[in-house]
Amino acid sequence: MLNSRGQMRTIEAFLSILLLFSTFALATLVSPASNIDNDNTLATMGMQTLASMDSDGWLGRIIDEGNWTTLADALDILLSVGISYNLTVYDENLQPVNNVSISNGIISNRNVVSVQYPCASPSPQGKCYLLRLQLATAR
Amino acid sequence: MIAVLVVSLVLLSTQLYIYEVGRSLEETRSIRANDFVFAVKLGSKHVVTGSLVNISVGGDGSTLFANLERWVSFVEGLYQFGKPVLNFTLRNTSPYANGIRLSWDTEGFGISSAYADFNFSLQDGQVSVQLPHTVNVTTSLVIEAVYRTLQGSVKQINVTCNVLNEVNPALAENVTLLYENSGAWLRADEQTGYTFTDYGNGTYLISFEADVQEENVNVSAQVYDLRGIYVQANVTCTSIP
Repeated sequence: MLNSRGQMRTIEAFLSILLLFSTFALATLVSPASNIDNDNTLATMGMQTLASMDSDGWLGRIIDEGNWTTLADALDILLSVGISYNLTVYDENLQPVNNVSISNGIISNRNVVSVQYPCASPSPQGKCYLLRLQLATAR
Repeated sequence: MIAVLVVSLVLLSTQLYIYEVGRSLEETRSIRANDFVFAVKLGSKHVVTGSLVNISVGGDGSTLFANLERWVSFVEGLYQFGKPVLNFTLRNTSPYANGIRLSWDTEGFGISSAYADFNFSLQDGQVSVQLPHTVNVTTSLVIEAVYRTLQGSVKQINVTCNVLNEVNPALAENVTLLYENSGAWLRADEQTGYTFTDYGNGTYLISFEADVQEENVNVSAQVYDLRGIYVQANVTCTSIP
């Protein structure tokens, strides 16, 4: 009777250890790190895209002109295929400036990354803008 | 026994989850801080450039200070992870005054320049950034002019213009050449035999013929570079046989 209870305890301990390690493995697999890595990649891509357009002041000039079509065309070219985006431009008082949508489609993905880019125009008026770029991997 | 194990399992996996999320958020914060710093640096340069455009065409000398104040105030309210601080100082040592130098002399050299020192800091516990940097936007113009007497008082005048952005040759958006005749400044492109040669490397050769009574022929080149900055230089032509 005692031997039987001892065996049961041993089996129980083994099962517990097995359960413990399998849960660890599962927890690592389902942790959101992979999503966050993807978010980081998207955010970095978005900021670098805007920075490349801003390097010689082109971005600020295009916004000054209100040339939203050209801005959307540039984003279409510079962002990777399969990335959905939606850009909103705000003025110094954080009021939206673009009167048309600057987007390549509807972002319905739950994992939307949003980056904010401060931009100054090299124009004589020295206007300041805040660009909010939402990015998602198209499904 | 099993209940104890299950509870400890839940606690451990929760801890693991929190650790992973926390680590990734730190990485995210660091990446976004670096990008933000870069964007602010670019923006500061554009504000200085735009202000110089304004001042070089006759705008108020305080425009640079006012525009930078606005930019600083705008930037300091934006960053979501902490409080950024952007300070700037306009160069006030000669030949600069309030960060601006406009020198359009008669020796064949003109310069329009703006100079500001920045210090950007960002600290929020996880990320610490300290970035002192200088922005110097300069457009220079160097001109050389010669003339040859053709017949009587009619002269052929050749003017070479070299445009520089900072220290590098740069293209001009527009070049206008004037010459002085009996106290009046006249446009060279309205004269006989006017030719304009663009060498594509920031060097421009302008030739024209003009009836000028004086032996000393003064010319003035007025240039806008591709950034919209205006610069001017004046020189007295050298006579060649």
